[in-house]
Order: sequence, then C-alpha cells, then structure tokens
Amino acid sequence: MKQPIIATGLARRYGELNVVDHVDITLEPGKVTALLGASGAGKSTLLRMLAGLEKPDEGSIKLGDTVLSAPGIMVPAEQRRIGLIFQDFALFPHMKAIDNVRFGLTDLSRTEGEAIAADWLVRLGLPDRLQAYPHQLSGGEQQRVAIARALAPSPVAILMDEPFSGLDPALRDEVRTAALSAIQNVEIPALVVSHDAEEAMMIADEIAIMDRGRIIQTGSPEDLYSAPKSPVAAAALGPVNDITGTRADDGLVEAVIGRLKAPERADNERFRVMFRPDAVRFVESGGTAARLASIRRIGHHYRAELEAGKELILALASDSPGIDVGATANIHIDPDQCFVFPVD
Amino acid sequence: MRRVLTRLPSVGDVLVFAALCLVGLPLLVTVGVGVFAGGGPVWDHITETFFWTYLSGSVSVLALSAILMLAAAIPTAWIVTVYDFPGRAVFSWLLILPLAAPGYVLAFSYADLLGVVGPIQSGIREATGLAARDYWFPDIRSRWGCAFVLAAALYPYVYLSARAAFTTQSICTLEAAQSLGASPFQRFKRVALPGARPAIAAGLALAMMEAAADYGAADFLGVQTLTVGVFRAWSSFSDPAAGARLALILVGLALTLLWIERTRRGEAGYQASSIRWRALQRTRLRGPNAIAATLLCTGVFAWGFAIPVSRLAWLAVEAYAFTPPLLEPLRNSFLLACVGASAAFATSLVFAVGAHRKRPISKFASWVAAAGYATPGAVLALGGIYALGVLPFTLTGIAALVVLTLVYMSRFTAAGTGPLTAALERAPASLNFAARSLGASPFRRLMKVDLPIILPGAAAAGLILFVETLKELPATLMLRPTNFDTLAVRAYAYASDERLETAALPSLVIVLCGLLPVILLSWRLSTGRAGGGTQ
Amino acid sequence: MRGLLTGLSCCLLVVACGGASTETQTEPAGTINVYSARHYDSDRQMYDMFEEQTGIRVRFREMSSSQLLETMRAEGDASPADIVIAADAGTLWRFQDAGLLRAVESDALKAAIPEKFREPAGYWFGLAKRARVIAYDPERLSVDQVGEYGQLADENLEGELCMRSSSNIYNLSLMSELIERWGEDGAAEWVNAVQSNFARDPRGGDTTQIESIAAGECSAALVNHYYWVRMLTSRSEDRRALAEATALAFPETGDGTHVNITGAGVAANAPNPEAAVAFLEFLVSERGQELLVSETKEFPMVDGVALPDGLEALPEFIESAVALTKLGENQATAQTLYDRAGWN
Repeated sequence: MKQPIIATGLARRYGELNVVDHVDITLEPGKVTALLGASGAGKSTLLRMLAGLEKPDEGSIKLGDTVLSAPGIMVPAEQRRIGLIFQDFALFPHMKAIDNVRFGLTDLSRTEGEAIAADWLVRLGLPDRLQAYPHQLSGGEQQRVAIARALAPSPVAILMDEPFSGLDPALRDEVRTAALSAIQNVEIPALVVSHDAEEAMMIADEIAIMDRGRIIQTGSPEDLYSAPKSPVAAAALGPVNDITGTRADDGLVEAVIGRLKAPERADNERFRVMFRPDAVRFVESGGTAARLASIRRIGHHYRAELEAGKELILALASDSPGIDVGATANIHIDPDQCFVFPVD
Repeated sequence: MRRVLTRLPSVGDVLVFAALCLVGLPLLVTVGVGVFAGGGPVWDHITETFFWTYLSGSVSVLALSAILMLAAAIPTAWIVTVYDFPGRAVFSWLLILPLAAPGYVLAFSYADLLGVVGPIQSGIREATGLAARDYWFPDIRSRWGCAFVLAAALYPYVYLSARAAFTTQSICTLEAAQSLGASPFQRFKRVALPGARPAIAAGLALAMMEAAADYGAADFLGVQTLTVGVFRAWSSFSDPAAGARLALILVGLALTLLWIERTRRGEAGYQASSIRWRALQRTRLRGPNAIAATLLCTGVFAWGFAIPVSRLAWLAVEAYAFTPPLLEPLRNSFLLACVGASAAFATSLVFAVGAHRKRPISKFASWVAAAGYATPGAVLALGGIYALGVLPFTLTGIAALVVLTLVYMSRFTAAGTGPLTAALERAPASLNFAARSLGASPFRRLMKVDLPIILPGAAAAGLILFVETLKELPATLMLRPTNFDTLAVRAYAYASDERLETAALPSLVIVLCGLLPVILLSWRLSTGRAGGGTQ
Repeated sequence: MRGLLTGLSCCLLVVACGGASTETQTEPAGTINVYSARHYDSDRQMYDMFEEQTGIRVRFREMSSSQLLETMRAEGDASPADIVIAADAGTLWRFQDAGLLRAVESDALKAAIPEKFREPAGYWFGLAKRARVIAYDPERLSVDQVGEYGQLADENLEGELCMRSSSNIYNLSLMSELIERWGEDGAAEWVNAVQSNFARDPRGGDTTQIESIAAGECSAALVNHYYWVRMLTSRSEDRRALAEATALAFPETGDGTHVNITGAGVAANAPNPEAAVAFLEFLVSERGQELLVSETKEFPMVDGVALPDGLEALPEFIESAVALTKLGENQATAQTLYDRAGWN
C-alpha cells in the first residue's frame, strides 16, 4: 500500500534562526517532488526532519494516517523505513557493494538478501561490480550502489539530498536516468533536494521552491516556470531579466519594453517587470529599440546582451537579429510571458 | 619508477636520511650490541631461569591492558561522539587527562590505595573486623595490577583515535545506516566500529608500545616483564649486552604490532570521508540511559585520573612537612621537555613530510621510528652511552644533554609523526602539485603549503611530545647531566626509597605540568573541527 | 606555528647556553663529582656544608647504584666521578670488583671507622650503619619465636612470613652473611624452609612487609630497622599506628644482628682524589655524620655522635662480626640459592 507523506506546519529553529518556518508539503506516491532553493534555504533540514534524523520543533509528519512525528511523538529514523541518498554516497567503506546493498535487508537470510541485493545492483547496471569495495568504484558507480542500497529494503519513501551534484556532468544524466526509472518502478513518494533548477525541472513532477525556511510556491515545472508568484520564485527556476516599471496614468505598468497589465489589487506606483531570456524575440520592426552590446552563438541558440534605455536585457533567441554589435535591434516580448510584481 | 631510482637525492632525501641516522643511532647500537655481544653466561642464565617469566609477564600485562583499554576507550568514545547526556561536553575532554599522568605515578598511587594498609583494605578490615589474611583482595602488585595501572594511564591513546575516527566517519554513513533500519547499537557494531577499526588498531598499537616500554610501573609493582628483565640483566648481572639481547624481543614485538596495524589499515581500504561536513545530530539520552552514560564516563575518568591523582594530592598534603625542594627539578623538567620535544618534533616533521611526498626511504624511516618508540628508554640510553664512549665524551654537561636529546628523538619521533602524518593526509596531493606547478621550491612548499595545513596536527604533535618527554623516566635518569634532577627523577627516587608520601608531591607536579598541554590538546581536538560543538 | 617553533628554539638556546656556561665556568678550589645512590634531601645540606667549610664545589648525580655502576663503566677513563656513595657493602663490592674504585689512605678515616666496617685496603668506607632485623606482630608471636634468623625456618611459622624480592641487595647481603655463618648447605636448607613459610609471594619493599604485618596479612618479615623507625616518627598518625602495631627483634645468637653500611669510596679515575678524601673525612666528622643519618634514621658510624630522632626506641644489639667484604664475595651464590628455592 503506497501512501503519501504529509508534513504540516513543520518548523525548526537553530537559536534565533527559523531554518524551517512552518512548512506544509505533501509527497505523493509515484511522484518525484523537487525541493529547490539556494543554499541555506532550509532544504536539507526539511529533508532531515522528514527522514527522522532531526526533530521538528513544531508541526507533524504523517505517512498516510500513521503519525511519524508530532509534538511528543518521534518515530526514530531507523523505524520509518524511509530511504536516503546522499551527495557523497555514504557507502560503508569496509563493505563490498553487495554487502552495502544487503545492509538494510536484515529480515532475510544471507542468501535471500544477497539475491535481492544482486538483483538491485543488476537493475542499476552494475552486474559485474558486486564484489567491489567502494573505493574501487567510480563516483557514478558508487551512487548507483547507494541508490540500490536505499531501494532494496522496499522503503515507504525515498529522500535524496543533492544526489547527483557529486558527479561530473557526463555521468550525471546517466545516473539520474537510472535512478529515476528505478524509483518510478516502485511507485513511492520521492523527494529530491536540489539547488539546480534545470535538474529539478528535468526530474520532478512537482517542484517546491524554498526560500528562507518557507515554501513559497509549489507546482509543476511548467507552472512555476511560466507563472512564478514572486521575484524569488521567478529567479529560482532559471535566469530572468529584471527591469523596473512604473504606474502610468491609464493604470498600466510602463516599462522600456512596453506597457503591461498591473497585477490585480496592486495599487503600488513601482513594479519589477521580469521575463525570461527566451521570451525575447527579434523582430523586423515595431517592438522596442535596443542597442546590441554582444552576441554569441551557443549551440542551437544565440545569447545576446542588449541595452534598452538604462536596462540591460539578456536574450536567448533561436535566430540572430542579423546586425552588428553596436547597432540597434528591435525586440519584442510577449506580455503574457512577463511577470509583473509590485514593489513597496 | 625508473625516474625515482635514477634521480639524484634531493634536499628532502638528505634531510630524511639525516633524521633517520639520528633517530636510528641509539637503536642501532643497542641492536648491534644485542646481536653480536649479547650471548654469554648471563644470557644463558636468563634463558634458563627467567626468560619465560619475563616473556609471559610482558605478554600477559600487554594482553590484559589491551582488553582493559579497549573496554574503557571504545564505549566512552562512542557515546561521547553520538549521544548527548549530562556532562558529555566536559567528559569528552576530561577523558583525555590521564595522558598527563605517567604510568609510574599511577602505580605509586594505586599501590597505596589498593595496598594492604590503603584506605580500601583498611576500610574492609574496620567494617568486618577481619585481618588481612582472612579475606581475598586483588593484589595490585601483580601482573593484573600492572595491567590495570598501565591501562588507566594509556587508554586515552585508544580513546582519542577511536573518537577521531567516529567523528570523521562520514556522518552520512551513519545516517544511511539509520535510514536502513539499523538501531543505535547496530550502527555502532556494523558501521562505526568496522569503519573505525584501523584507527582504533593504530591507537591501541601506540598504547601497547608505551606499555611494552614501561619500566617504572612494572618495576615499582614488582612485575617481571621483559623491560624489567633488561634492567635486571644490566643491574643484577652487570651484563648490559645480555639486556640488549633481551631488548631485541621488545623491538621485535614493536615491529609485529606495527605490522599488524599497517596491514589492518590496508585491508580496511581507505576511509571514505564526507565531502560536506555536517554537524552530527547527537541523540539525547534520557532516564536510565543518560545516567548509565554519565556513570560510565565518570567511572573511566575516576579510574584513569580523579582517584589516583586525588590520592596523590591527599598524600602530599598529609606529608606537607616533608615538602621536598621542587623548584629546580621543575625548571629542569620544563627545559628538558622543551628541548626534547623540539628535537623530536623536527625529526617527526621531516619524517612525516618525507612520507607524504613519498620519499623512498620514508617507509623504512617510519619503521625505525616505531621500533625506537617501543624500545624502553633505558635501552636506548644505553645505546647512547656506548655511542658516546666511542667518541671521547663524558656524561657531564652539554654532551649528556645532546645524547639525552638524541634518545628522546629516537624514543618519541613516532609519537609526533602520527598526528603530523594524519594532518598531512588531510591535505590532498593536488595542493602540493598546484604549489609545484606555481614554481614553489620544496622549502617554500613546506612553509607555505604543508605547514599551514598541518598546523593543528603540528600543535598536537608538539604538545604530545612535550608531555611524553616530561614524563620520560629511565633515559632521563641515566643521561641527565650532573646536578640536573627532573621531577620524574626525584619522584621515582623517593618512591623507590619507599617514601611514597615524599614522592607524592613531585608526582603531582608532573601531572599538573602535563595537564595544561593535555587540556590544550583536548580542547583543540574537541572544538577544532566544525560541528564538534555548535554549527 | 611559528610562535611554537620560536618558543621551542628559545628554550633550546637557554638550555644550551645554561649548559655551556656551567661547563666553562672555572671552579675556585676545585670540584668533586659525587655519584650517589642516596636520594635524601638532607644530603644537599651535607654538600652545601662541605662547600662552605672547604671551598670545594660539590656536584652530584643520584641514581640507583646499578645505574651508577653501569654509567661509570660506560664512561670509562673519562668518568668525572670522584666519589661513589652506595647503600650497601654488597654494592660497594660490585664497584670495587668492576675496578671502579681506588684504595686511599687516610688516618682520619681509619681512626673514625671501626676496622670491620671498612675495606681493608681502603677501597671503601662505611659511613653509617643499618641493621637487618625481624619485624613481627607482637599479638600473634613472641620474640622467643622469631628472635633469630634461624627461627624463621621453623615449621610452625607456616603461612606467617612476608618477604620482599630476593634480588634486593639487602636480602642478597643478608644471605651472603648466612652462607658465611652456616655454610652453603645450611643456608640452602634455611632458605628452602623460609620459602615454604611464606604467607604470599614476595612483593613490595621493606615498608610493604611492615604494613602487611600490621594489617594482619602475615606475622613476621625481614626488614631494615630504619623503615620501621621512619614509620614510627612519621607525621601521619596512620603511619605511626602501623609501626606501633609491630615490633622489631634483633637477633642475638650466633654472630648477632646482620649489620650493613652506607659507604663510600674514591673513584678509580677520580679527577680530584685529594678533594674526594677530604669529602670522606668530612662525612665522618660530627656534623657530617649527623646530616648523613638525620633523615635516613641509620646509626651513625662514629661513636658519640647524637642519634637521630626515633632510634632511642631501639634496644642495644650485638653487631655481627662477619666481614663486610664477604657480603660481596658470596653475592652470586646467595642469588643462586634464592633462585633454586623459588624465592623470586
């Protein structure tokens, strides 16, 4: 029976600092949730509380209807059956790969345990590394062993703390694919802590953005990318242009790129207008005039820096404006792809 | 490989070789005398009469003390690292304090405490009305008692290495085990202990070498060990060469311990260290568990330090009228410890850096240093005296000081190399390569790269060497210049004159002198690493 | 780091300079080096007083007699030692036997020291006397039972004796004398019988034996008189009580009580033999004698010198007439007899 993990009002303080500040989060079975945020946002602490490695000051954690943590109740980590995967793999250095994987299979006989452990290592693509010690394995192989070890005891959920950032980029994709397919097969709730927006979008069904101890927005990668609810959320999902806007007489927001609709119920005079570099298009005429400061081809798109008035604008466009650096280009930004946030 | 073999020796090689000569000289002389001149009627007499007594004495004292040390050090190191309980922070460094007390000082104290007219047995007689012949009481003047005393003095070596290993083990590893359903005890047994085994074996080997080299405690307690036998061959039979031959067994024993330690380390593979360091979340113990943890730590601390030292203090107070003159011995002890420690530090540093840079003779050098470490100070001192005799020097004044320093180097270099090597291992080779690629000379690399990185380890090595030299007894006894008594020498002289109450004060002062460096050391060890306290 | 190194090197310098300065200093009226096996603080006063009286500077080196002997052997011709002081005739004999002493002539010494307490040729001289006697528990035994050395072999003392190790020089010297008195066979018979009366294995020093008697572990032991006297005059009430619970018996039959000496000789390679003889002569002067025994509680060698506190509690006794030179000559045989009897 696969059950969700539901955390309500979870809080943790270190002295005066609210590291995790009354967070609600639900991890659904079969779904990968990414916890995205800058370092120090409280992601790891949240993960450790879910795992049972750290005790919340407030709030509760439930697995379905079972209480894992609540005021006065603390099921220790070793009884939660929640799998953990760490950035530094955390393999037991004195045990072979197969013994590492077998570690959590304490209820089984040695032969049964070895059979299951071997099966997991094969599934993760390590059929011939069963007898290797951790120091004989490459980084990617170590992390595969760690994933097998976490999944072998049939955990109720799996939590991963920056699982792929210890690997070099070439390996990362490969291990990530192997890990995700293994996790999806067992249909349990999965949480990945990450500071890499691209990675989060690549693997997660749902992303929770964390900032200074709070989850500021949750949603599908698509929603978050195209409809962030705050400047921080906008910036969390990837590079974003950030220019100023002011209230015009007609109630619209005036910015160098044009006039945009103000957010509802905002009577502020000043705004931040944000849009992604890939929202910028070069047009033949019309639009906004901007001086081309630099342009460079990066793979299948162009990366251009433009100056419009006093604002700097970064563009990632599929085609080149066809003009020299220093000349003036016309750019157009779809108002629907602009996020307008009031400034106090 | 060929490049290594054919290149010209560098400055580093020459330094390592020079240090090796200094450290190896007393040992070489002793071994040479033992091998080539050790046979003879006295040697025959020893093999016919006391050989097995000495050997079984040494083996049983070593085995018993090893068991006691492991039993005391590992549980305390573990609970202090992973649990929180009343007094934990204080105990984590209190438990190191016995390092300040030499084995012979603890032997004086326990011989008095547990002796037939000591407070405990007197109490028993008063309470029961029995005479000493009517009840059984463990005899402190026995192999058991000697092991008990040596283990009390030396367990911190095991405690320190175990604690360091538990602390530096990837915390994630323990957390991974926890998430896989391992209970605290299973985490200890299946993950932490196997992972820490090489470090514990290394610490134990160090402690055993110290125990094997002990003369003061065994002699005072009347236990026949090989080291005592070496002395007896020399003092009762006037045949130091036979003593030197007996000492060969101790050197062999040391090399065996060393070999065990190194192969264990090899088998265990490398110790994975965490890329990120995270504060260890200590589990808070409550109720009976917390009380048990506090009691365990209190017990071990009381055994190694509180009880014997407070007994000495009491004896010293009781004998206040006999206060011996201590100012001069104190000054001498301090000066000698400074000189000895700096000399041994220099060779330790050369060895450690040489080993780190994979100098060809470094491996051999480390074996020589370890052999010197395990060899009784008196045996080395004998080698030093012979060496001096070949050169036309006497034991007055500066020459004696030089030879004594040489013996200290021979005896203690291994103790300093340990922490220095550990510190260097923390610096990846890439740092050195980087410095080299930036055109830094070996000296500049040492001063700008290696030394700053090993600073904490270097401070630890310096403090350890200071305390070791301060406590050293037999070599100091033999080689100190005339009119140059140290505290250790005075304390032992009084105690062997059966004037324990007079010996109490100098003994106490030795402990107090060693206490400050040891506290500094333990403070550094407890707070020096991120997450040791708060984060 | 640098601070530490600097500090250490400063220390090194200080010591080096200190050592060098004492080395190069020229002494006004010569210097003598005393190699002493005694560790009494009152000896410093003794050296100071000699310096005051003669202007000859005393430098001393204190360690166990065996270490002194081996040190002198190793130093050979270059040895700086002028005087050797040792606490047993057997030990002095070892020095003489090793060729480390020289014969000296001194009328003052001859006059002050009875003939049996000095080496006939003048290799060494007794300076203070100590008696090896029987300590016993007056509540369990009477002096009639343990008044003589021979009585310790008595069958009805089974389980009543405490002894220290046979390798101790006091026991070796006593045995050497008994060999002289009773012949090797008689002495062997005695040592076997005594060994079978042990209450426990040999352990500790003379003090330990007195303590064992006081605590009721055994009833009799061989001890030097001054250990008991020191207990009796201790500042500690507990120590005094131990002495008061025991009594000393001074053997009278045969040759009486075994008397040994603290003695001294002039080193074979003494750089300053005249000053050395002067020092010996000082030690048999009244003041020298008093200082020599005030702390040790030995008997002064010279008649008429005041006894140290505590000795008045001891009875008059018959001093053995066996020549002290025998103690050294029989030493090896004595050890062999002990070893054969299994008295460790």
